[in-house]
Formats: sequence, structure tokens, C-alpha cells
Amino acid sequence: MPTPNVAGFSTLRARAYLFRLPLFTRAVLAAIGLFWILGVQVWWDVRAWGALVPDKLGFATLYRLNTFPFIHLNVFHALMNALALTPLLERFESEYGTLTSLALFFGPLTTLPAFMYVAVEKWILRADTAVMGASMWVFVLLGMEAIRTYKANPYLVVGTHHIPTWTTPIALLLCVAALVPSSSFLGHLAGLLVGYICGLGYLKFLAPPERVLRWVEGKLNLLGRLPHYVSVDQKTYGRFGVLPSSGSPPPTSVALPLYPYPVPEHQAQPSRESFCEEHLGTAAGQDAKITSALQLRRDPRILKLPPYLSLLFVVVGAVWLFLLPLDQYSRRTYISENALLPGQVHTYFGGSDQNVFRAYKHEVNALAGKSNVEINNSLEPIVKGLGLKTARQNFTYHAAGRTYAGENLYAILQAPRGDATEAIVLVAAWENVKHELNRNGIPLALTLARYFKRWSLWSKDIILLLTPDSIAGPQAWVDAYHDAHDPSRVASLPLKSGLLQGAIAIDYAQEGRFESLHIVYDGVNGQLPNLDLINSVVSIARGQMGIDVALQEMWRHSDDYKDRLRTMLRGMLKQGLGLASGPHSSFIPYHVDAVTLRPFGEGWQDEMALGRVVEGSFRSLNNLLEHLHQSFFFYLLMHRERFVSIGTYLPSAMLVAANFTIMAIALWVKSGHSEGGGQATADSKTVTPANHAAERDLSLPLGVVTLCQVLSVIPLYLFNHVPESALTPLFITFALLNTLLPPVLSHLLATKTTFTLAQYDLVQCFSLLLLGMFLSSLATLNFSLALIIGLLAAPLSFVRPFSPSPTSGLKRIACAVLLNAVSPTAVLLAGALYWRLDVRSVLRDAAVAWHVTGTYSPVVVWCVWWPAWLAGQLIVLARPAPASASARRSNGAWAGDDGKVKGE
Amino acid sequence: MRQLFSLIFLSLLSLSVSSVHPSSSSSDYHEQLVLRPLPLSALLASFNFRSNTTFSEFEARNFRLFPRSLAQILQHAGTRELHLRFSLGRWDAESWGARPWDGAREGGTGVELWAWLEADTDEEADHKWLILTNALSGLFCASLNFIDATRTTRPVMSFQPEGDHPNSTVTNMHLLYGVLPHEVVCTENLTPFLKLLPCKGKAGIATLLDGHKLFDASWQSMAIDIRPICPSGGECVLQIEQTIDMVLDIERSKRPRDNPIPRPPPGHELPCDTSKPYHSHDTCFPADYKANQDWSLSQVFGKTIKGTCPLMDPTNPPVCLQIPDSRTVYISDGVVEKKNPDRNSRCFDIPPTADFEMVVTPPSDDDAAQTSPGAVGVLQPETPLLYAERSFTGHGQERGGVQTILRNPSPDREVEFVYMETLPWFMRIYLHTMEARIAGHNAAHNASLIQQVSYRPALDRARGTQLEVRMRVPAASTVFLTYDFEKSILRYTEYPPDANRGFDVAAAVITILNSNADKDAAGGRSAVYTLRTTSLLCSLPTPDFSMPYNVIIFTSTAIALAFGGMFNIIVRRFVAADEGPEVGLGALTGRLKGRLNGLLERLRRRTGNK
Amino acid sequence: MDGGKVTLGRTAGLYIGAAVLRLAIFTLLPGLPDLLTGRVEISTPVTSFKRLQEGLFLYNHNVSPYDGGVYHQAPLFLPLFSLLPSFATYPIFTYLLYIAVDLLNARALWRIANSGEAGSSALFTSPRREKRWSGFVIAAVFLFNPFTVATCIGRSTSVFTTCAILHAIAKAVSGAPLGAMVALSFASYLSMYPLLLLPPLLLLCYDRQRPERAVKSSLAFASIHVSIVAGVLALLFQMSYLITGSWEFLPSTYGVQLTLSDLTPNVGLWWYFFIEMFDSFRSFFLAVFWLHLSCYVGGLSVRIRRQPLVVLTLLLGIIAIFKPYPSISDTSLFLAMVPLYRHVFPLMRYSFVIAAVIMYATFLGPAFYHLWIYAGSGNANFFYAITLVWGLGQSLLVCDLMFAVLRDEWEVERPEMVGKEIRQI
Repeated sequence: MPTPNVAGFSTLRARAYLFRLPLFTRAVLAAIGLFWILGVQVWWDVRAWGALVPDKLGFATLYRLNTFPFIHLNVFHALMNALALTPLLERFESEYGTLTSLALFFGPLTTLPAFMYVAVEKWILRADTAVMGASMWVFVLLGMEAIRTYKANPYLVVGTHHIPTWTTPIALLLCVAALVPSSSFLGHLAGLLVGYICGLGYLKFLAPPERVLRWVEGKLNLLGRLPHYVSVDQKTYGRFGVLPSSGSPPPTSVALPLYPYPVPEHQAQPSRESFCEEHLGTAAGQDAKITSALQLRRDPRILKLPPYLSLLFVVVGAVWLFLLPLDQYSRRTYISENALLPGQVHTYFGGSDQNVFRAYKHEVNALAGKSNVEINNSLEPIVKGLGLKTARQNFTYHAAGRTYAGENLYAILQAPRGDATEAIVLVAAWENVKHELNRNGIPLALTLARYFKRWSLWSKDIILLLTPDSIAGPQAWVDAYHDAHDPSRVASLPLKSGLLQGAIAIDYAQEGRFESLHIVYDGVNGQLPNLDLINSVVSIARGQMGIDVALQEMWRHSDDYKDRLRTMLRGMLKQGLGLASGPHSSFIPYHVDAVTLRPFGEGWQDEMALGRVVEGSFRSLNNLLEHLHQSFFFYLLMHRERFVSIGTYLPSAMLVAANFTIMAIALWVKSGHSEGGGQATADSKTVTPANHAAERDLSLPLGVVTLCQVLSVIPLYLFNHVPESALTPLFITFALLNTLLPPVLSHLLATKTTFTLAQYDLVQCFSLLLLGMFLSSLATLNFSLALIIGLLAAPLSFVRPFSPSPTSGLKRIACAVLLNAVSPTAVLLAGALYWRLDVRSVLRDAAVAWHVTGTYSPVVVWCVWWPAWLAGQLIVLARPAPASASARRSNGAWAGDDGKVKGE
Repeated sequence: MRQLFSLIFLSLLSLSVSSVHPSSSSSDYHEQLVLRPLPLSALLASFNFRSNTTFSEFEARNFRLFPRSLAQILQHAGTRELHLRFSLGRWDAESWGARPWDGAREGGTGVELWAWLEADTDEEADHKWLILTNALSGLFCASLNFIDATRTTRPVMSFQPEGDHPNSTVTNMHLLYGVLPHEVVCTENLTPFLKLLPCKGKAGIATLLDGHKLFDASWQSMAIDIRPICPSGGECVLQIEQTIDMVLDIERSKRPRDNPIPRPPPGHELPCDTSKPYHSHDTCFPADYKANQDWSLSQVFGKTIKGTCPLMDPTNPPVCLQIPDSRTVYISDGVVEKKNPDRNSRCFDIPPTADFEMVVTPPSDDDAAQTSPGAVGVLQPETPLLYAERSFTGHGQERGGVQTILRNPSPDREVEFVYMETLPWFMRIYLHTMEARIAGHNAAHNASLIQQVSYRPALDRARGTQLEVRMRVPAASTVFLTYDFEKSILRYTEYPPDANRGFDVAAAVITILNSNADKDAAGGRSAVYTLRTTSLLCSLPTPDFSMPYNVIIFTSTAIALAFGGMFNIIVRRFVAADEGPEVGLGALTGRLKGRLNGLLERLRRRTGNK
Repeated sequence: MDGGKVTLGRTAGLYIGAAVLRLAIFTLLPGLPDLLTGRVEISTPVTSFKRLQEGLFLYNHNVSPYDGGVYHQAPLFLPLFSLLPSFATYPIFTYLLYIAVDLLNARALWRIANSGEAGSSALFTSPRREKRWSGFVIAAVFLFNPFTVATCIGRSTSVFTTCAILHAIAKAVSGAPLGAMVALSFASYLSMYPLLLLPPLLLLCYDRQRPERAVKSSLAFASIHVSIVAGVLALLFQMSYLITGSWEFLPSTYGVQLTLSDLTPNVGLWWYFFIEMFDSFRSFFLAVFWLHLSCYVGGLSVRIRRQPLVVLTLLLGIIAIFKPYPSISDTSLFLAMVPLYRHVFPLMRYSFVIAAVIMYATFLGPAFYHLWIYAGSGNANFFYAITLVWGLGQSLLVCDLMFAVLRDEWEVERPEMVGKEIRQI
């Protein structure tokens, strides 16, 4: 029964839709565009001229009442409003005709809400807020639509609770007021009210009388002259013509201009069925007041909506991301933990400490190139001489066929008068992530330790940690400190102190003086330190020392949109990869806030300046009474003093995740329909037509999805456990298998089983449901990873099986190839090429991260993304069996079940 | 209460008559200051004040040396023996060696109080304990009154009475022990402490005591011990002993008070190791261990000793200095220096009115040559019997573990001791997870480590956990004692204002038992050495404190939804969708619509007429 | 329903498969059992295996386990587990015990399913009863339900309560009222709340009692069996008294459930509510919550009088949502009973939504708990929100099942309404 079916978004259809827009709608859109372009130039402020400002509203300026809907704040505002307005307005016009719309929208429908708004704003609120934008119209139209829907089916049944459908715009109103900044709640409300009134038909008397319109049309022969003109007569059969509720078969001639989208017959199919079902079902006379979710479910429009809805979600989710750097969406950073008092203390580090620093630097340089143990042997007496308690720790990690071993040296400066309850950590790795010798960092750390020893004000112990490398060493030490280590590989710590309250790592590998400071803050698996820590370091460095601060390797940052965006995206990429970016990274998973300070650039700041920054930060941490808990843990930094908090950015990831869920639900409903319909046609008495939901054959689809998930363990294990040399060949072979596997599987499915379209729908439904579920849980743990995977997997929610037809073979191949382009392997390869890395090193780093720091990104890629992709590929290559077979098959299944029952 | 008094009175009377020769010499007053330089430029100063009062005088309420305020409290609360400790900081056993007084005169961080009360029943003892803590908190300006039932325990093995108690009273004496780890000891505790002294800190060694120095010390402990002493053949006396031990950082306390900030010294004053090849005017490898070996009383304490307390018994010298004889010490004239035969300490007799000043010179180079750097010219600290270090294991706010590392340094003799923990009730410990293992040995050796456990589990909101473990550590070995616990979440009203700081856990008390002596009368064995671990900070899971109303609303809504749904389904009857009357909002709006229509009709008619 | 060789083979296969699966998890993943025991979703203060260990330790060392804040479980567990070889040395015996209990549960379910009570009770016969799953399928669904497996691996003691409840029902449907009553009183002794199941269970017994020795008068029947329950309970309490030597186990075992003095988080609605509750209202709301929990019994028993098994199922679901210390094991019990109503699944309206909600909550719960407790980046509200969702999802399932069953009943008297749109007034 099913015929070619590409429910995905096709540009062709979109173009067709645009071309079929009626006249007035076009005019309005054109006007909006025009005014926006006008707004671009500077010497005449359109917004000031056209906006609806209550106080400026005099007799001479009444034009504002009609101009404000066309004028918008910025391009996004205009775009969104246009997007929302077009379908609504188009429907309105195609129903009432162009002239009427013209009259109404330049008359009451604009002025009434405007007057309402002005009245309330001016005389009740005594405020004077300018409003502009077509959103007021949107709400007018929504109100009317809502009333209409309410007349058709009054209730939406959720649980056992009947929600009147006319309330839906109110929900939207609230959402908009809550989510969109600087949106005028009052204006929208006014629009909505007018919409309701109009929808209830109390404004009919305002509409121009029909015969006048006819007369005008006749005289001017508008129909002939104007293209896309909607005549007064066309509205006589309104778009209710196709509603199943009124029993008449849909007149195709009307379906074309009035449907938002042309209806391929295969999609009209369910509607027809549902509606003929209604004939044999509720012969008692279908009442318009029937209230049920099933009722809504039968509405063909509802069935056709989801792909577009989920597409909208993906688009909005992506666009949202690009809105974030704007001033309206991001916020200035501020320090919410008052105890920190950054930069409030004098820092005395310097003077003769520089002599000491030079001496230690000589010592360190002498040790360059020596073995780890030799280095510790000669550093330990120095630290002991400062009066600190020292200890060592061995560790050995095996990853990707290599061994990462070493020995940590650490020392505890016991707080005078203090008790071993809390501690701060000062980390200096012998070599940084780029494997450069930390030639200035180590001596600086030693000098600082000696300097700190002289102070009596420390309320917390200070732990000096010297590690051989930047990743494994700190990880081993932190694990052992919290007894989360594997004793066979990592030795326990002989010496411990209290709770770690914070850690600061010094990575000063460059020779000579520096210009400004680079703060590295990403933790393992995308966890971030408390924003207060970063803020206080920034304010100490800039406010007190006058050292500039950079984030995410943005050496130059002119605080404009482009740089903000780039900073944010880099941050998100780092977060998504979830690798350790410095010695501090390993601390963060244990709820120890930490950052790495890395000087860069050629400037006049010397080591003592960095030392004073560290001193200031330690003094701030020392002030802490409670563990840092006030400020944000989920944020995106886009400038040293600008950030977006979770409330603002999470929706984008959630929208992307939600699109999968929506498609899953839609497919579920759809599978129920087609099958129920099929059986209803086949033998309509055995099954109960009212509910198809129970008649699905779930076992096979579930089996397929489970198979995909189980298979996914194989690549995860292989890529994490083969030696480094074997990684590249393994990757190549796996990529080849990856392309070959789906065809083979689908061939098996097609030959061995009789998979119907409905069952393919179910396969896709389940895999999408799982994907959406994983991603939405992941979004709370690692936002960026969830968003990246979600966007890469977005195509999966739009693929549909092709049905056997002469042309479908090519389409299928093309689609499969396209889908292969977004397969995990392909994306990995592309990324490696783009950043000019070789695949081998990428895979090795992943394996090392997996074994050492416990990065779970590989799990997400192989066990969440890959199975979903596999299922999608299967869908594309599907050869569904005819539905009649399915009916028999499913009956057979139940028969089999009965057989079991009898067997007992 | 009254018959209680009479009871005490009787018992005391019996004591006094039992003693034959009332000797007046026992009601005298000693005070002594012992100074002992420690490695890493630290200085241990331990002040000791001791005075006796015969019971007859005590009963007759004529207190010569015994502080009246305290005496009244003791009588009121029926206290037979009292020990009170205010402590701050930690004793660094690795570098400073054994503790002063074998740890008998110190407490864990915060305030510690234990006393033997005379009472017939536990309830009576609790009541007296309440009286005692409240009175003492008033006397010492410390929040001792917060020692409530959840912070009070009754140790079984750890503490033995120090005084001599007649068997008649031992039977109904109750030991209660309370500790406040979060209490911050400060000057307001020192002032009342000095007020108890006969000379009130106006004369004698007490003149050196001043808040700034005392509370800038790296470690300090104030102790008050009151116990009855019955010398053989003498009248029983009530002895009060006040002790202050502090470890000063010489370098820090030598800083002038007007400028305490440790600015880096000018380059040329920096002690450098000139042997380094790269040594030059701007490059200096520090040689800190040489510094700060020379000091004087006025430098360290900011003042000199103003004569001696006239009440003090003149036979024993008020000031002693434990330092090798090789070091030369200059003293103000009129003071007599008496060197001990052991060549390691010397004492000073001070004329009653003269000021006493003492200057210790830096060690000569041959000293520096023969001793290890960092410990030049000071006595080698004697190694303690046991090193103990306690820390938390695990992370997260759900559960954790406690790990105590006990190291026995002596090569030949094993140490037997009682390890006592008093834990708050919201740390639910799992005793079955407690295990002791020797580092580097197999499980076979671990069996005999723990010999006896006395455990009183916590009751929620009623009492804390009390755990006493008698165990042994073999010679030259390290033992790990570990157990798991679970952090319970409290009601939001039970959290302190700084909930996210965490909750302090009192120090563990380790009492090393006298190995060769057999059990004495009291059934316990005398302690030879006591040490305390550092206290811990335990962070509990916290609810959102701003949420009460929201939570009540949300939960109630959820329950209402569920209940409403089921209720609807149960009570309503089914009809076909097109049957039955129209109900709900639809009907309402319908009626409303009708009304409005009528209204509009009338309006329109009126407009039509016009 | 006669058992042939094939069936026996399949049965044995099923049981062996389930047992092997659990044993494999126990032995191959030694870290997992303790991990699961620590999860708040699985073990609550009143069912935790670790607390049982502690209680056992204290009991064996002559410290009263009830004189502390850790052990809140029934006294009879102590001798039972002290009879086993100690867990520390031979854990295998404990594992086997738990596996055996799971298999017993499955067996009881099997009997309930094959009795056909769900489809056709004494007073009501569903027109759809033909379309049902065999006992094999239902037992399999129970045994391989991830929640059940997790509970078994986590060794939560609630499995014993589950066992008692299921056997009570099985006895009842097979017409052995006495056994049912004894089993129920065991369940109530172990964890109190099953006492709420007494009225519907009485009805079930009354409907299914054997004709040859049937007690006609319902009043007499009820009084007899209530007294039986009371007697058995009294006996059990007496035994517990003899074991522990004092009555202090009563407040510590049942008082904790009544007053919720232990506020450890769980998947229920109580803990956060009473953490955030003002002290002056705490007792009042405790009373209200308990009243709410018990108020369903009467209503359901009356309304669905004709199908007592339905009432039992629904009550199990309701209890799994609203009891003070719920865990996923209660949910697994409810989910084990639901498949008995395969024949009314077609009438359920939100099966997909329910499945989605429960799965979402299952995945989001641990994530949010991790954020709160370990990562420290989220606060308690995260986990609390998920417990709300979890509760709502389950209540939606209960509502939907109730609706389906009632509509099934209704369509018997209005056959022409089959497959029509209906509503409730």
C-alpha cells in the first residue's frame, strides 16, 4: 500500500509553498523585509519613527498604530516573527480573501490591540515602553485559530485531565514571555484577547460587507490583474472542506491552495482511512464535541506535523546557539561568594624572593632531562629544607599498548594554628600537556611555598604537588587522595590532609617575561570549576596586577560577536571531547575547583607578577568559609567577563534531543495507524478499530534495536584495548565494515523476515526514542557533547524507508551514501583531517583518556550514536513487505502465542 | 540535692578523719616555666601552676589558693574529679618528638571536658553534668553548654581517675565525657583562666602570658585538672593544676608587633648557601635552618618576667631551660643559674622583685657540624611511642570511610592502646566493616590486632556513636585501622548557617596502656602516654534551603494529580461520547456566550434604532 | 493448561536461564553487587542489605541492633541470616538464597497467571479474556525485568516481602485462604504496609474458596481470617521478642516507617517533603500522608468488587508510589502483576507515554543523583524533580490500567459500545 514517501524536509516543497503564498501575505512579508533594510542604515532611525510609544501617540502620530507591526528590533526578531506569521496569515487570507485581510489588518485587528496596549501601559501601569514587531498579529491570529480549534475539538486529554484547547496560545504566550528577552507580554496579551474576541465572532460587524467587496472586485477585476489574489468567493468553501469531521470527501481543488503543504496521496491515505473508519465507527453521528486524544490523533494535519516540528526544533536549537553571544542573552560575570574578596589584600611576594627564585631555577635547569626519580631525589631535600612534610607516590597506567609510569612528589605546608581539616593545592607539573619543560613553573612553585611558609594566616593546609606529567600524575594523585584508585596501579598516599578546597596549577614553560595570562578551566568529561574561582582569578590578574587574561587560546579578543562566538565554540568543542586540558582537569570530577594559569606572549610581566597572582588567589581561597557552592557550575564563557548560564543555553540541546522524541512518538502513532488501517480494510470485525495502539508487533523491532545496541560494545572494546600500532588498520577495517554492515543486515531482514513498513517505523521509533533519552540525560552531564552528537545525528530523524518502485533504487543509494557521510567513522576522519591530526594519534589519545582519566566520550560515540546511526541506515535500505502480509504475520504471531497458551 | 550534699559531706568527713596528721605543707603553691627549643626554629614553653587545699578547708569554704568560683561549682555539681582542655593547632610529632607531659595535659582541637560525678543513677549524673557544663561555660566564656546528650559519651576503657578515690565513692562515680571540636579557643578563654591563679597573672611567670603571643602559637593547649590526692599518712588534699603548653615559631614571634607582615628581607640579609656555584648578588639558595637559633625572652614573649609570685613555694626554681650546656645563655644579674647534672637543662632562681631576662646566643659552628640541619644546638627530640594520623577516605556526600594510620617506631617493643572515637549521630558507622591490617603483611597477622571493642551505636537525634577499641601494634610496623560510614541527610532546620562548610568530627583519643603493669583496683590499666589525632571535617549532603514552600507545593500537586485521576475514574460513570449532558468548561463558556450574544443583540438593536 | 514434556523443558529452561544470569552477574562482576546495594534507588533504610549486615554483626556480638540508628528490619532476619554461613567468607550461599527467592516469586506468578483469575473472576468474566499471556511469558517478564534483576543483585530484603505477597495471592487464587492469610501476615510482619492488602485479599479468598468447605456468610469468613492474621502476627511478634529479648524492635522497625525519622533519599515522594517540612507541621503531614496511602483500599475494593485481583494489583502500584521508603523493587512487583491484564492492554490509552516517562526517569535519576552527591554541580532539587516524574509516570500507569479494566467491565453491560469514543461524567 505505501508508495514513495519522503516525509523529510524537501526544499522543493518549501519552494512550492513559498510560491503559493497569497498576495497580502507577500505584501506584509515584503514590508517587514523592507523596513528591516531601512533599519540598517543609520541616518534615519526607523524604529524611533515607527515604534508604538505610548507617550509619543498624538493625533499626528496615529500612523504608528499601523507601522509598528512592520518594524523590528533586529534581524532575528524580524525573522522569527515572519516565520511565525506566514502560515497563520496565509491561512487567514486564503479563507477570508485578500481584501478583507487588508481591511482588517489595517483596521481593527491592528488598532484595537494597539489601543488596548497603550491604554493599559499609559494609564494603568504609567509606564512608557515602546513596542514593535508583528508578534502582536501572530497572537491575534493564534487567538482566532485557537477558538476555531476549540470549536472543532474542545479538549486535549492528558491523563484524565481535559485541557481546553483554547488555552494553548496562553501557554505559548507565557513561554514567549519567559524565554524571549525583551518581549512585551502586555502587547502579546492584548493581541491574544482581540484574537479571542474576533474568533468568537464579535468583530464580524467590523468586517467590510461582502457585496461591497464583490462590487470592488468586479469593478477593478482584481482577480484578473493581481497575481495570487484570493477572491472573496474562494473563501466560501473554507479550509474546513477537508476536515474529516464534516463527512464530505475533501475537494482536491481546494486542498492545493489552502493546505500549507501539497498532500501526497500516501499521506492523505491515513486521513481517508481514519475518516472512513469514523463512518463505520461512530455512525451514531459524529459530534463536534468529541473529546479524546485519539480524536486528535486521527487528524491528518497532526500526523503530518511532526517532521516539520522536529526540523523546526533542530533549526531553533542551532540558531539559539548563535544567539547566545548577543548582549541580551549573555550576562556579565560577577562574584557571588562574598567570602572570596578577590584582590582585596596586598601581595608582598617579590623583592629578595626573586634571588631565591633564580637559585631554584638554576637547580631545575640542572635537572632537565634527568629521570623522574633523580629529579625527585634532588627536589625533595629542597622542599624538606623549607620545613614541609614531603612524600612520594608511584603510579603506572597501561593504555593503547603503552605504559605511563612515574612518581609524584608532594609536600604539605601545615597551616600554623590550623587543624588538618581543609587544604588548598598548588600544582606544578614537570612538563605541560605539550610536553615542554615547565622551567619557570617549578621554581616559582618552590619559591611560593617558601614564601607561604612565612605567613601565619593560613586557615587551610597548602599542598605543593610536583608531578612528572600533566595528565597521569595529577590524576593518580587525586584518585589516591580520595581513595578511588586501583592499588595495583596507583600507590596509596602515605601523607594526607583535609578536604581539598581548591587547586591552582602553574604552567610557565616559556622562557623570559610574559604579556598576559591564559586561564585553562576545562575539566575531564566537560565538568567545569565553579565560576567564582575563574572570576576571582580574573579580577586579581586584571584589577590588581593589570595583567590581561585570555580564555580558550583566544590570544586576541576584541569583545565583539565573532570573537565571543569563537571562544564559546572552542569551549564547547573542548567540553564535548571531555579530554584533560591540564594538571587541574583531574581535580574537577572530585568537586575540587581548579584552574591552570599559563602565561603567554612577549611582555614586561615577570615571574614575580605571576607569583603575586597565585598569592592573591590563594589568599582568596584561604578566606573561604564554605566549600565553593554559590555560583555557576554550568556555564559557557565567551569572554573573560561574559558568560551564559545553563538556563539560557540548555534549551538548545534539549530541543535537539526533543526532536528525536517527537519523531519517535509520531512514528509510534503512525505505525499504529497504518497497521490498524490495513487490518480495518482487511477484516474490520476481528479488530477493535477504536484503538490500534495495541495491535503492533513489537518483538522483531525490539530485537533489531537491541541487536544494534549489543553490537556497539564491540567497537568500544576494540578501540580501547588494541595497541597503538594496530589502531590505524583497525580503524580502516572498521570503517569498511561499517559501510558494508547495514546493506547485509537489511538484506537479511528483507529475505529472512517479512518486515513491514510499520515494523520499520517501530525500529526507527525505538532507536530514536533511545537516542533522545540518552542525549537528554547526557545534556545535563556534558551539554556540549550532547549537542554535538545531537546535531550530527539529526538527519536520522528524517530518513524514511523507500518503497519498491523503479526509481527508488537510486534514491536509496544516494540517501545511504549521504547518511554514510555523517557516520561516526566519517565524522572522526573529517575532524582529524580538518585539525591536521592523524587518526592514529586521535584514537590513541581517546584510549589513553579512557584508561587514565576515565573519559566517557567513547561510550557516547560508540554506544549511543553508532547504534542509532546503524538503525537509521537500516531504515534507509529497508525493503518493507506489503502490509497484507503483515496483517497475516501479526495474526500468526498471536496465533503462535495462543499455541503457547494451549501448550501449557 | 540536699541529701546529696550531706552525702558528699559525710564521705569527705570520713576521709578527713581517716587521715591522722593534718600537714599544712601540702596546701602550698608551685609554679614553673619550662622552655625547650625544638627543631625547625620552634620553642616549646610549658607553664605549670599547682596548688593544694585540704578537704577540711575546702569543706569549710575558706579557699586560700583554690579559686572560689570553681570550688562552688564543683561542690554544687558533686564533681569528684574534673579535667578541662582548651586546645588549638596540632603537635607535629615527626619534627618535635614526644609530647609534653606524655600528652596527659592536652586535648583535641576545641574544648574537651571529662569529669567524675558522684551520683546514684545515670539520670542524676546527666542532670549534674548539665549543671556542670552550664556553670563552666559561664565561667570560661566558652560554649560548653552546647555539650548536650548527642555530644556526651561515657567512655569505658580510655580514662582512669588520676586522683585517689576511696572505694566507698568509686562505686557510684560516673565518668562523662564531652567534646566541642568546632569551638575556637581565643583570648576570652585565657582571661578567666588567669583569673583562677593566686597571683592573677600580675606577678611571676604568668606575666609572660598574653593573648597575642599565646594564640599566635603553632600549637597551644590550656588544661585544668582537679583531683583529690591522698598522700600516704597525710590528709587528703584537693589539687588543682593549671597547665599551658605552647609551641612558638621563633622567627614569627620575633617580628616586631607594629609590623608583623613577613615582607621579603633585603637581599643582603638573606642567609644564603654560598657553596652553590651559581651564588651571586642576585641569586641566593636560602639556608634557612641556620636562622632563628638566637632569641631572648623579651623578643619571643614581648616582655620579661616581673619577679615571682610571693605565694610560690621558694624551694623549686620558677624557670627552667632545656638546652645543651654547650650553648651560652646570658641572664639578667641577680639571677642564679643552676645546671642539671644531665648537661641538658638548667634552671634559674629569680629574686622576688627583680625582672628576669634571658638571651640565648646562636649555636657555635661545631654544634652545627655535629647535628643535623634544622636541629642545630637543640636537644634531640625523643621519639614518641606511637605516631597516629587519621583521615577520611572516599569522596562524595553519600558515604565515606575513616582511616587511621598507626605507626610504632620502636624497633623491639609492641604498643597496646585504646583507640576512642566519639562521632556525631549523623555519621552512621558500619562496625562490621571495621578492620585493622598491618602494612605489607598478609591477612594472617591481622587477626590478633584488635583485642577488645566497646561500642555504643548512635541513635538518631538522641546520642552520638561511642567506639573504643583496645588494640596493639607490633614493633616497627604500621597498622591501618579503617571503617566505613554513611552520611545521613538532616532536616533543613538542623543545618548550621554554614551548612556547606561541613561538620567537625572530634579528635580520636589514643591512650597507650602500661604494658608491664597488671590491672589495678579500678579494673583498668594506667596510661603511660596519650595522644590525639587531628579533627576532621565531614561534609553532609544539603537540601536546597530556599525550597520549603516550593517542595510542599510540588509534592502536594503531584499527589493531588494522582489522587484526582484515580478518583475521577472510580466515581464517574461511563457514557458514550455523544450521550449525557454537556459538562465542564464547554457548558460554562456556552452559557456565557449566550449571555454575551443577548447583550450584543440588544446593543445592535439600539444602534439600529439610532 | 496441562503440563507436557515440552512445557516442562521450557519451564526448566526459563528458571535455569534466570538463575544462571544472576549467578553470572554475581560471580563475573564482583564489584556490582555492592555498588547496587549502595544505590538509593534499590536499597532503602528499611531494606538495605548493608544495614542488615551491620544488624547481623551487632546481633552476633551481643549488642542489641535496635539500640542504634542503623538497623530497621524485622528481627526474624537475624536468626535466618546467622544460620547461613557468614557472608564475608561464603557469599555464595546468600546469592543462592536470593536467587531461590526470585524463582519462588516467578513460580507464584506463574500459578496466579494460569489460574485465569485476571480474565475471569468469580463474579465477572471479561469478553476479551482469550487474548492473554501464558504463565511462562509472565514469569519470564518478571524474571528478566531489569528492575527485578537489579533488586536481586542489590540483595535488598524487600524481595522477601515480595515473595510473601505473591504467595499470599497465589494461595488465595488456588482456594487456600489459610495459607494466604499466613503468607500475608508474614509480609506484614516483614514490612508493615502489606496489611493494607488484607481487605481485597479477603474478598479474593472469599470468591475463590473451595465449594466443598466454603463459608457462606461473608461476615463469619472475614472475622475468622482476620483473627487468623492477628494470631499469626502475635505469634511472630512473640518470637521476635524471644529473639531480641525486648520490645524495642517495634519502634525501631515500624516506628521508623511511621515517623520517617531516617530521611535518606529514595525514589519516593516523602523524603524531600519531610526534609523541607517545618517542624511544627511534620506530625500533621505524616498523618495526612499515611491516611492518603490507606484511603485507596476501601474505594477500590468497593468499586472493583467483582475483580479483587485487580484491586490487589492497583494497590501494589499505588503503594509503590506513595509508601514512605519505596524502591524499584516495589515497582518491579507492580510491573510483574500488570502483564496479567494483557487482555485489556488494547483499552489502555497512554502505554507509549508511560513507557517513555518511566524510561526517561530511569536514566535521568542516576545522572541527577550523581550531579547532586558526587559532582556537586547540581543540588537536591534535580533528583527531587526526577522522583516527582517517576511517581507521576507510575500513577499514570495505575490510572490507565484502572480505566482499561473499568471500561472492560462497562462494555459487558453495553456491548454495542465496543470501540466507541466514550467519556466519563
